[in-house]
Amino acid sequence: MQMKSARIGDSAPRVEDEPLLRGRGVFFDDLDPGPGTLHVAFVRSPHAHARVLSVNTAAAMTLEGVVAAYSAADFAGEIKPIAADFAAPGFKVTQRPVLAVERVRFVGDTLAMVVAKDPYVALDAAELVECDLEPLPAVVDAAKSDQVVFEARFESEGFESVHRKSEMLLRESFSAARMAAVPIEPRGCAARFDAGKLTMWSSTQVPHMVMTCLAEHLGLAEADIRVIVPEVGGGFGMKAAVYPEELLVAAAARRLGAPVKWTQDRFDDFLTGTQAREHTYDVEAGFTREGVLTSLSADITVNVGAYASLPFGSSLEANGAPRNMPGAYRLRNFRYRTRGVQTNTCPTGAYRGVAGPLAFFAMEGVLDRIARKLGLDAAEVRRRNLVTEFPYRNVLGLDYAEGCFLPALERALELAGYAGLRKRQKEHDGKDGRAYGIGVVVATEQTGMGSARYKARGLHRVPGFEGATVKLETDGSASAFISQAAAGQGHATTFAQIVSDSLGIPLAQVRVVEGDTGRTPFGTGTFASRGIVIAGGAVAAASESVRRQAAEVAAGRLECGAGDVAFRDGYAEVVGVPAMKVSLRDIAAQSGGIAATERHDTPGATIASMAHVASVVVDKRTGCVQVERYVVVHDCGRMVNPMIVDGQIQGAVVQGLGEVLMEALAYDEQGQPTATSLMDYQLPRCADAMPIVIEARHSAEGAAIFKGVGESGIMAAVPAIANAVGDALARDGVSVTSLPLTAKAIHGLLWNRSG
Amino acid sequence: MKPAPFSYFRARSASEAVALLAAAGEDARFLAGGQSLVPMMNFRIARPAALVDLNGCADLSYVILEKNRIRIGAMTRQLVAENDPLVRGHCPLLAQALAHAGPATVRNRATVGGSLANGYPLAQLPCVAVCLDAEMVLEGPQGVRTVPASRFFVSAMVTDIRPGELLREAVFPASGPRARQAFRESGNHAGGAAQAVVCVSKDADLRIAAAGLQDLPVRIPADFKAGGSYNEALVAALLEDALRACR
Repeated sequence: MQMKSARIGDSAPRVEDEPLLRGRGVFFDDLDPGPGTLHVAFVRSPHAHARVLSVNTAAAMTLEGVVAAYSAADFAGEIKPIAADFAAPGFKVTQRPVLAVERVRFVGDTLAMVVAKDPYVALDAAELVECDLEPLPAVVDAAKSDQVVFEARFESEGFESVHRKSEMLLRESFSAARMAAVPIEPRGCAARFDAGKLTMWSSTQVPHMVMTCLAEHLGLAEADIRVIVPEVGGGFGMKAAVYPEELLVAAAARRLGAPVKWTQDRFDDFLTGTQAREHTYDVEAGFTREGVLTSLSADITVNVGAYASLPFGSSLEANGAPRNMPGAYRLRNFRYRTRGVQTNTCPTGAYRGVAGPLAFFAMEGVLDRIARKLGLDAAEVRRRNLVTEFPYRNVLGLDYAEGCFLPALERALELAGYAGLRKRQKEHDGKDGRAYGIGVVVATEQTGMGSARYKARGLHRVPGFEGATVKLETDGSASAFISQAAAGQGHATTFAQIVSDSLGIPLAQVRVVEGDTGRTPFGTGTFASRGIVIAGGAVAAASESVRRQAAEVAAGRLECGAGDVAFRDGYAEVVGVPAMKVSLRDIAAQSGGIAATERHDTPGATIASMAHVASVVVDKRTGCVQVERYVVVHDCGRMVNPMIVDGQIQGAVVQGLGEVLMEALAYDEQGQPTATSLMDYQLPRCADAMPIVIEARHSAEGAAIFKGVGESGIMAAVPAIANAVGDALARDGVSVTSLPLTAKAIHGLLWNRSG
Repeated sequence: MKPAPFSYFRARSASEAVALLAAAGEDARFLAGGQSLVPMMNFRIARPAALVDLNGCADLSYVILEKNRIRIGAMTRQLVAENDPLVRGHCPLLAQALAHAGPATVRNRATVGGSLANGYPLAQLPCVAVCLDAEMVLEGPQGVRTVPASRFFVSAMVTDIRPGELLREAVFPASGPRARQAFRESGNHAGGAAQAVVCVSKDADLRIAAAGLQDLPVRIPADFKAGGSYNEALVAALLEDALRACR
């Protein structure tokens, strides 16, 4: 066994990989919540908008094996309707009953719940539930909706006079499609009551918020609820929501006195998993003849779907979009209006990058247009606008303690061979029907938001802090109990590395316990690039506390001062006299184990940053795009495990590729989703992925502190790839303003231009 | 994603399969590799009352070269056919097309006959069959008959297979020593569903077929000109590349 302790900064192999690759991972559907488990199927609305005249479960109840069938009336007064938004300026609070009462408002809204002895019978019975629905006109397009549920405005001091006096102006509208997160494992939840205490198993990123929301909506005490998370096959933000199904499954288990389990399938995932994006930006930019952006006005609309989702509500994307826009650039004059509107489509929620990818699609689209209007190089326009002096407070009041935006850009250009790419592009005659394009992007990611930011956003169900208990066990091993729930991020390795580094315990002897509200301190969850920043901070603080206590014990044994004790490879030793040592096992046994619990929070957000360069070839005959070169230079702060960081970037960049070139979940005019399977919804696959050159480059601050990295890849990849395609097509007079850029869409842009 | 109830029968030979299907009644269907039918059943779009499983029929899995023709048993797995030396040597177009028929995990299970009988208009094998004038051998309660590809594919997901009949074999012409064949497809991403397919075979004569223009694969001339539609533009571009490869 490897007995050396790991350090922060090691690319240690992921300890979670071996069991997962051997098929020993226990995912949601592998769980058995107990003898007599009953299975659930939900009856979903086939209409986007309809009046519910009646829901009759009598026929379903006649099927052998059916135990119960519930419609709204069965749980009246027992499950509080969901009101995800709180009354605050700019918000219109709406309610969602967990089972539809008078109306269904999207295809997939829940009409009834069937509980049976096996999942096949449950589905058979769901087909027998008779719903009398009177269809009503559906509103699908955000531009046609008058249901504004969130609105915010901002205008920097003196904006109008600066904007009016701009040397040059440009106007553009950008838009992007509705997307689905599509984790390979859909959702699932199971519930069991034992003597009034609820155990819920859920495939979620936010077990503590599932616990608090179950308590709030079912009238239970939080202390009587335990939420357990098995291995999670991807979440991407979609599992950072608390869903009606979790409330219903728990209510059914309470009613029936038996364990109740619901495993979602892909079809249902496309209907009811929170979706994302679908923004429009009407922007007007003022700039100088030298290419300096002097003012920006943006009017933003986000389609939030039929209901506000727990816990982020209807402001998540609409609020985030303008707040991301200034990014790495020196924008001093900014005005925006941003709105979230309801439509008869699936509710939206978090998806990797949240508003960032499209905010930067608009912002970087503006900078590319400035370059084209002035005949300037796209990279040069970035150089002239980047923030280069720190500390910097941006126009919205966000503080950047330190950054390396310009050096990162120059390094990315160098790695990409930018000058050569431009030369080839210029010299290419186009006779082969191909066009070359380059996208250059510099952006920021606001990572690790703490409690203050969530409170300021009116998100009172999101605690914002994280907790960790680190325990030196009596056998000399260590355990870390952390308020997080991993869905592929490699927490069992990275958090263990922090403990190992601090206590000098070999990695194999550090166990990480997460995803269990009964065993871990209270916290928030795994989303918004916050794990390493906030939970990592809690783990580091708790480890240091244990280390101090252990040093006291060791000092007594070694007859030295506690300050002279160093921990390494399972031993405490006297600094400079390594022969004088005592094993951690002896220290732990002598003291009966040493534990410490710490909570970590951040006052604002921690600014990570990235420069991406994408080089593409577009076959103009077919519209097919090939990304031939991709470079990322990023500052994600101090890296605990650089290999895992690279993995985060690779995965996120490929997700960005999908967002730009493939993914769209369209609704027809009646509100029917046009993609309800992976035959219709195109995701990037391994064969679509390109080699990605990744290099970390730190500012002085970045070398010292943890920053998040989960989303920077997609935030910059979307504008970089989109701008590269736009650059390739610009010679043909085509303007790229809308995503996705499917091969067919690109061909259409070229055809419409010439036809 | 759980099928509606159905009965299940496992056949040991082609003739037993035909008999079992006849006995199982009107709404019974054959199960080959299950790569199209099973997902459709899980979506409850397909609801056969009974399945007759062909996976135990050893007499339906073979590749034989005979009198300048390659005979492929319907239950031959796509990956097996793709890597068969007879197919690679005497019908390279088919081997190329099979390489595009889905990821390896799907081709491990999917069968040559299953794809042809399914008649998906953008599938690779029907386009090859139309290009090469392949013949389909059907066995039913009334005996065996042979149908050319040009009449076998009727429209999207509809073939000339009559109730009770089993597609038991596909027969492709073996290419000559100087033949040049090329397969091209275009989709929005690698390994995913095709938007258009073009097959070119240059032997004693020039044969070209395209999928994506109509609701079944069709023969097109070498001087095919695209009209206004995207799929026509795709076919024209693929044809240009395929003809260049056959030069």
